[in-house]
Amino acid sequence: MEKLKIIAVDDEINFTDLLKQYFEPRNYGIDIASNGDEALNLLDHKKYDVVLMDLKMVGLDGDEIMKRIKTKKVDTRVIFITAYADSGKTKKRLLAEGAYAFVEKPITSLKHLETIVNEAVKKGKKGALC
Amino acid sequence: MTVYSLPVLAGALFSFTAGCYIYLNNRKSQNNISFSLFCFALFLWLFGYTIAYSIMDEQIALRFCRIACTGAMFTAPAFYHFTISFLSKKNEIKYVALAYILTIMITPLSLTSNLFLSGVYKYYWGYYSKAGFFHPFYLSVFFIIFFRGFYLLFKERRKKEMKHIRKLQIKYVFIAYVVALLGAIDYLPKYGIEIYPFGFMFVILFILIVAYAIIRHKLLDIEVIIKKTLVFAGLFGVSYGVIVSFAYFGSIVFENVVRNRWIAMVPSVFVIVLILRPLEHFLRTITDEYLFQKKYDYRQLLKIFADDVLSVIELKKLISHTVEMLSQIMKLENAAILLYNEKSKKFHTAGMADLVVDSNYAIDGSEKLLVLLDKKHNYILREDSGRVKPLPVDIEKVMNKLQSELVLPLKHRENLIGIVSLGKKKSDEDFTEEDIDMLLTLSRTLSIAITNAQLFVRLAEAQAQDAQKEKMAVIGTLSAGINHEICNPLGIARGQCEMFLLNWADGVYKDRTSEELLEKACEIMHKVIHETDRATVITRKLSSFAKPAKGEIEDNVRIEDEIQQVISLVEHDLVLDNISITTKYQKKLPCISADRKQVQEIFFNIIRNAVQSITDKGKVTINVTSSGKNVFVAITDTGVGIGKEHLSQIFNPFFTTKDPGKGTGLGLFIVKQIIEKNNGSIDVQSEPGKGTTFKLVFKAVGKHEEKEEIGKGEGKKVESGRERVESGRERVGGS
Repeated sequence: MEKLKIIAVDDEINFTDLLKQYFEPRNYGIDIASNGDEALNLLDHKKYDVVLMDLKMVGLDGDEIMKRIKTKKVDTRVIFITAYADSGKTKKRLLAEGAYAFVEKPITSLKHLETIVNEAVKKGKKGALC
Repeated sequence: MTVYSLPVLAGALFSFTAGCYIYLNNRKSQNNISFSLFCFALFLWLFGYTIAYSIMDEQIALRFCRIACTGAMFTAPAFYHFTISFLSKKNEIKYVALAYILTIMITPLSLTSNLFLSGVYKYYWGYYSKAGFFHPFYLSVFFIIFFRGFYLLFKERRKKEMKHIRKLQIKYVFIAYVVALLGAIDYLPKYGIEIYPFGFMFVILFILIVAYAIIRHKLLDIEVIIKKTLVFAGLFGVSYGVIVSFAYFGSIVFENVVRNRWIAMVPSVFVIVLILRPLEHFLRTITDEYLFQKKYDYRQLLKIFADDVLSVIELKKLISHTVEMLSQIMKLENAAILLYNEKSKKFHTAGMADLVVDSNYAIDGSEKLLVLLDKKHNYILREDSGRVKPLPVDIEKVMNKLQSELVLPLKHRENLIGIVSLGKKKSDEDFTEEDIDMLLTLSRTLSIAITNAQLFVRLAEAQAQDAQKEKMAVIGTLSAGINHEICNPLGIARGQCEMFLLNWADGVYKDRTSEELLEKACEIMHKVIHETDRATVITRKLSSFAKPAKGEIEDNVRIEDEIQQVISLVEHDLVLDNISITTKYQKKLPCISADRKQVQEIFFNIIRNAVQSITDKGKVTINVTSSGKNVFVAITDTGVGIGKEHLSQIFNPFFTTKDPGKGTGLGLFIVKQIIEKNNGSIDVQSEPGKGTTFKLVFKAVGKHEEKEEIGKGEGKKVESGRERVESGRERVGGS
């Protein structure tokens, strides 16, 4: 039985690849999208528990994705993985819109990421920053 | 009343007034009494002659001459009396009495008999007494008394221990006596020498000096008066002498030819006119050198200050120079300057000469001395005899600490920025009004010089800060890009390794063969290499950008390449903000001759500005075209635009419409400098609300070359300092 369904959105193939290689053997369902459009496509067809998204996607299609999730009234947690040091405004805005957490790149621990993913699904929509 | 009697009358009236005034000033003091007696005697003397000169009748004239001479006689004992009381020589009082008695006894004789005055001469100015038989004896007694007083004064002057005001008084009285001696000239006409007896002027001067010394105790302008009068008297005497000699000799020569002594006037006037100026200068120099030896030369002081000291920009040097000069030239015991420190709100010692004060010494801004200087006084003099009340204790304390005699304010625009503290003069003399006047002027100029020096320091600091801020601003802009381009690859490299290791540890690979595992490992290592290479590239780009431009102008600079470099640095900044950059390059663009780094800097600044002007979504378009001779770059943004009123200012240094802390205002200024240095020009058009377009023009170089490695460009080293400003357009106006 699959534990959780994750969708990872990032244009860096090597990144999404490593996520897939980590989560899949551990019984997570993980789908990859390399841009916003693809992600939206996938979101329309399947239900996901967690969205792992790079902040880079925000602004272009990221907001779209957030909207879609909201309108669907689905319990999909959005976790942003970002290398951007400053995104104070953006962070605030997204948190207000319901993002669950922000994780900084480079990711220091995949295990830690896994924990957050699990927590996200357990806890409520508004969460603390990791 | 003839013209000759007028000056004498003036003198008479003056003596009378002086006598009254001095007596009334202090009826009890022997000084005052004796001196007023002297003045009244003088009055008699002078008044007697006033009448004598004006009268036609010989006998009446004689009578008045006798009255005058009697008056003159009393001047000796009165004079002696004054000296004794001034010097408090109690033991000689009996001699004073003796002198008076003697004179009184002679009076009836001088008034009536021929012994002293045997008659009158008729000089051109009127009747004048003729010396009688006894007269020379009288004269010798007169001089004996006079010189006795002189001697006593001289001895007194040599004494070392006394209050320095006293010293001054004695000094001036002494000088006055010398002057008075000159009044003895008036005895000459009594012996038949036809010289207008102007000696009484010296006596008048004598009165002035002494009176001032008694009443005021502060002999300020006396110096000047003495000097000027002496010079004047000297000049007058010489002129007079010249006229008389010419008249005398001329009359002998011309007596037969032209019976008019007035013709002699003409050559004498000539001579006088010629010698007057040099004579004046000569007399001035003599009085300066011999009478007032310890005086300093104002002019020297001012000249040194203007040339040397005040043009020094460095604050420390300026201050130390100033105190040294002041102390040296004015021959002071010490000098110091204290300046206000804004942080501590106190006045700290900035420079000292011959003064030892704790280097931490500071006067609080609320200290009375400073408040007084700030609000009321122009200066504070410790021993100011013009002051009614004594100095407040607080002020005295501070002045004691600084061993200060005179404190002057340094003011800038009505604010007290510092003080100048001057110690006593080594000669122990007071600061005269002339001194203080000059010092006040000097301190005003000094304030300006100090303010300048301080501003210079602040300016240098500000410039350093601005340069730093600009650097920070640039780094700030790049930080997003830095983060992304470095953190991402590193994160991936790490993640891949971690993933593999975790999978291995958690047994994900338990069913794989060693070969498969090796393959997997190699795959991951390739990825790691790929990612670290990425990181290296951006690091190189950044460090290359961060290096200061060396000023090498190269002939094969491709604008499109440089623009791309810049874009690759900034594009990450744009992602978050929903801003896109599009570029359009005309085919076969020629190269330009420019400094590569500086060209990058230009585009970096303009693109950054463009991006920052876009508040929501927007785009930046870069269009590069060429006419063969020039290369045109147009950078358009859909930002907030620039208002008409600002368009002409945007290239000014420090002009910015950003909030404080968000921009240094130097970006476009630098751009303009660089562009002009690289033979280009820049223009701007803008519509508020719609956007802005920057148009740059560069001079093209030869033909467009094949794309090749520009690794090590053939840089032509150009002398730094070459700045050819393109005479081209720089229309900066409204759209």
